Amino acid sequence: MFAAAFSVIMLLFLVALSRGPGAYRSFLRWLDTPWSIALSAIILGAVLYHTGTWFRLTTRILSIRLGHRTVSRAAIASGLVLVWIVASAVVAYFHIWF
Amino acid sequence: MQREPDRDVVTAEPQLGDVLEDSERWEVRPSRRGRRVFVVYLPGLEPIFWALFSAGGFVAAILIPVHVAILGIAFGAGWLPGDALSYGRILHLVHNPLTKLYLWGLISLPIYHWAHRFRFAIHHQFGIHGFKRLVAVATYGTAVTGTVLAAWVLLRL
Repeated sequence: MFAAAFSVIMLLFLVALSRGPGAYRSFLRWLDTPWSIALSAIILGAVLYHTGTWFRLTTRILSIRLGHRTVSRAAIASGLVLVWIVASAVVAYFHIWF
Repeated sequence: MQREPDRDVVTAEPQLGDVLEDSERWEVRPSRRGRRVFVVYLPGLEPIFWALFSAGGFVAAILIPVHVAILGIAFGAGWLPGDALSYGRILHLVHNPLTKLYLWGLISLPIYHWAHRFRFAIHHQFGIHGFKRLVAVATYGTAVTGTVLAAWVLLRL
């Protein structure tokens, strides 16, 4: 639900971008308001909670066999966290510095 | 109204309670003749929506937090370098077809995640067992609308 709320924000961001520099600047001004930051903080909290529960769920469902051995739940969890960190770093790189 | 039996209509002995528990069945309609129960069933759609729900779950878990942190918080707090969100730079980034494809998934998949989860919440957590087709059309319809809107906006950019 909160991730979908961010989808709406992202969609509005792209709509503003497509309508030219003026509309884009107004959208950035809205992103700068305390209301928008508070909303994002709520979404971020909820989404991080989702990340935790979703990863825990995945370790319960997913069973990876390598030869005769099954990969432990802790290893799957570590792998997911690693993927999460790398993906976040790549997104941040393209979003901010590229 | 007489209906020819076809693949979409499954006839069964009245086991209404059982059928209502089965979330794959979209609508239960008692027959006008006899004790037969008609189940209007769209085979093949449920696994697709389940897969989209799962994909949306991973997008929401892995990709959404960093986007919210950058766009929603870091920008407003002034933590980003000055030109990070400048119009020209972001437009250039979004003009890349790979970025468009990425953004299309980033926007639409979490809405499918919400749609599937919310549909189950209505039937199994809020205990509302009627309106199965209406709820499915409203939730998945929202997701499909979001997908189409995102594609439309991205293709026009």
